[in-house]
Amino acid sequence: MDIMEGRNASPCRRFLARRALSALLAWTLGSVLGVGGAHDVAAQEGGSSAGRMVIGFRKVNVGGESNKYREDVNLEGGPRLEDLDFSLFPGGPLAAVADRIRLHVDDLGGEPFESVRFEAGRRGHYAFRYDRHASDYFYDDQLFPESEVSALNARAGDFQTFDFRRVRDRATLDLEVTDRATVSFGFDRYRKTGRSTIALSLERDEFELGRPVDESSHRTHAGFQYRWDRVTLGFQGQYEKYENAHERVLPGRSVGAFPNNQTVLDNYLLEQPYHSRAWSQSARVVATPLSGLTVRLSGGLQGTELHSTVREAASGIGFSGTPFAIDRTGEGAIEQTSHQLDIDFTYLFGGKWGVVGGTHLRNLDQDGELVLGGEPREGRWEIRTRGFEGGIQWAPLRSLDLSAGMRSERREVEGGAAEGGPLPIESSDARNTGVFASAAWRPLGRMNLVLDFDDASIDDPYTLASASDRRRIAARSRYTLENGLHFSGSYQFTRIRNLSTTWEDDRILASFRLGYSRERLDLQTGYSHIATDRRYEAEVAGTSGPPALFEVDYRIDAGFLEGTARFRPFDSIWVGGELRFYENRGSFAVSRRDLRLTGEARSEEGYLLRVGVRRTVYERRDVDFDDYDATLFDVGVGYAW
Amino acid sequence: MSTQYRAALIGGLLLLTLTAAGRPLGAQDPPEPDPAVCLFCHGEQAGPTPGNPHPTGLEGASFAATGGSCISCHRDGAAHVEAGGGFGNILAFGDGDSPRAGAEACLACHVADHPRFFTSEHARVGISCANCHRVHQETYDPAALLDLVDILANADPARGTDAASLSCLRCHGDVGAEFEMNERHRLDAGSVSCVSCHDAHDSFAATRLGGPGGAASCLQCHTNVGGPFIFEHAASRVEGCTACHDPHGSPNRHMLSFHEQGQLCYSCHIQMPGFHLGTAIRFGPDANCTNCHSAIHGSNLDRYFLR
Repeated sequence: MDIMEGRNASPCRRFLARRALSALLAWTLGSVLGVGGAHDVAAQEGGSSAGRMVIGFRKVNVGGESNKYREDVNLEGGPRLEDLDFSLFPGGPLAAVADRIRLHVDDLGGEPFESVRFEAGRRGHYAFRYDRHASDYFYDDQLFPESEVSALNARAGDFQTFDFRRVRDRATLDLEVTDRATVSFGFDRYRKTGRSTIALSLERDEFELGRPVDESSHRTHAGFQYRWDRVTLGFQGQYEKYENAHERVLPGRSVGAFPNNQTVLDNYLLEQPYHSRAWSQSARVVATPLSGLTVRLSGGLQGTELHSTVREAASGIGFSGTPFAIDRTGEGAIEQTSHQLDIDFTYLFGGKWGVVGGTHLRNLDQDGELVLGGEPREGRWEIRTRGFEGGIQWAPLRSLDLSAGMRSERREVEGGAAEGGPLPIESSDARNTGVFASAAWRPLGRMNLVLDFDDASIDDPYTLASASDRRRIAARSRYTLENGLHFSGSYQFTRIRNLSTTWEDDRILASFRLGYSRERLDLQTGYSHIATDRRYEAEVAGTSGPPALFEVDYRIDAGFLEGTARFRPFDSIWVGGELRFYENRGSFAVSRRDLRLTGEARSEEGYLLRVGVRRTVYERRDVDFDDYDATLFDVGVGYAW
Repeated sequence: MSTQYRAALIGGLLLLTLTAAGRPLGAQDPPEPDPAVCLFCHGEQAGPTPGNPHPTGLEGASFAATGGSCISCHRDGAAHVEAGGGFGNILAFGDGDSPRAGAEACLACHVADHPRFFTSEHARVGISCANCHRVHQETYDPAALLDLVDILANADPARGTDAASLSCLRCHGDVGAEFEMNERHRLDAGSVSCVSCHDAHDSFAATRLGGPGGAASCLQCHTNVGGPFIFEHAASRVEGCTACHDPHGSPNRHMLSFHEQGQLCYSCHIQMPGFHLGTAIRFGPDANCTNCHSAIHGSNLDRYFLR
């Protein structure tokens, strides 16, 4: 039985429902807004409005590996509310309620990325904002051609697949109760639902389990801020509730990834729902006691309580041919508290000098226990971080800025976990010492050159792959000419070493862009290069037998070429094109070509016609497998005022 | 409450008491605001605009109530008026002006929102507020981040990248290229924005122990992997998500820092049960370690993250 069987049914129902919602919403909004009626009303009342609405239809043709297309692009065909942007600045009686109302909608109606934003406010009184973002995520990467799949040779593929939707709703309300005091409220709801699969290792075999995705988070906050002439004081409290159904189930009898193994799993169920409650309080003081001096003091306390129940049940044949059964339940809880304290200051003086500094403290304590089938599990963590930074800035010329500084930080970690028996606590004490410097020069009014240097040494890094030495050099430039020509370039080199092992990481990011912009014409082109070299030699020792030497040299050698052109021959018509070409020649060779052509025409009455075509080709360079090519046609009609 | 927190709280209260009265930061004694003088030449640019709290003070109750006018930001314009205009005789927030002076002018009001701006990398290299924000927009937009170059590009609603990210990418094109890789956060679709994780007004936290702000940015969306757990994957808890992932983009699935899971895991884990090495082909650097260690971000049941 295919774990993901029926997964297409869910998107189908979702497709139809959202298309219907899109059509209904478009009709409703069009009617309410009166296709310009709102504009007329606002104008008569002394206000103003502007807006734009486009209803679109997309046709998608995909060749090759459709799952890869869904991972990479994931745009579906059909109608949708492509774009809705409405701004109203009321006059008349409505202005007493709100002096601005805005609504912005992108791609509503079953699109993988949808957003809605609504704002309303009245200057000096209140500001309200609501955001909704929805995004689909799909992952089902085969990794190897069917003929090469072999669990024994570590080529069984990735048992993890995902097909879920995230939806986040946020609302904030700021009330200016006086011209110095502001009260704010906020609500944040997050929901993630869908399907996924995951692997299970049991009785020396590997099985693919279904893992329904069902989690939600609700967060509310309230805050108060009062501003005197030189001091601003703020408080905020927040409460969050999080729930996760967390379930894994074997959909049917399975012989596992190794058919020659005697292991057979008749059924498996793991239910581990958990919920957490988190409270946080924070306070902040920002003061400007002297001209040029700014001091900030902030502190926060957070507490989290998590509670979980567990039920695990399974039966089948073990690797030795003997039947086995599992049936156990349990319960547990985890408590986590953290404290933060930050003190920062900035002192600017003499018109050319500045001194900055700050210190931060972070403490995290975590303690948890869970009993499953009578066997206890316990875990404990303490992480303490303290650090300070200081720097000096000097602007000897209006066109030149120099700065330098240093940082020192210490992190102490104690932690461990155990299944029964005493709790082993391991300690780590890392110290980070670094310096930084930068220079920015503007020899011409619209040219700037920037050099940046950062060096850090970390004693006793936490893992064998953690940095004990990190150095970064960056250079950026940007120049804009009066005739519309502009260019920018950037180069960044980062070198990371773990001096007690052979771990090394070198990374280069470089980019150059050239453009020409006038009122009716915009041309842009650019090339970026990404090179990464990560290497190490690991002598892996086993509890028995000789060690094995693993030598790894991982590389990224990627280039990205882009070009865009937009031309507006008339006020009512624009056409544009965009080419994006990405290629990686390193350890995982792939390429993607993306060509888009778009045009839009607008009549004197404000009606819009928009057409577009997009061609995307994705290829694996090492094998003729997992490739796709997609052609998307878009047409939209709308109205703007 | 520990001694250090008590001391910090007392210090904060003393600071509050000592500075609760007094003149506003950087206060000059401006001449009586007369926006009409400015509007005589700059009426089209700086005239009243719907909902925009900044220009003139003729619109916007709170701005006018605090004495806001053109010179609140542009400082004393007497020399500019006497000269009949021109540059160099007024703070114009242009290319010829001191970036720091421009930032100080904005922070005279907005210091409570961005008190650490001068500790940021942007401020250190002379990037000022006016490099990204446009306060004389025709219509009020909280983003207000576009200049002419990007207005045309962003006029295409089919391009999902948000205005804030487009502004960042004007200078950080090299970082933008990372978001073009085959495994990436979907900046191009508007699913995330640069400001989802980064605060451009604050110092760069990636050089600190614990990575870029720890995992707080990541856990806004990836809530299920943040725990807390009985059995923590220690590298994740202590070092943060970037111990294993390249968050902008990567050629590798799940945006891991290596293409093969085994390569990533063996970079830290060099002690194994004997059977892992006896059949090295299956458990070598090319292995999918999470086929067994599936609860790799943390587990409440098994210390080896088997479930």
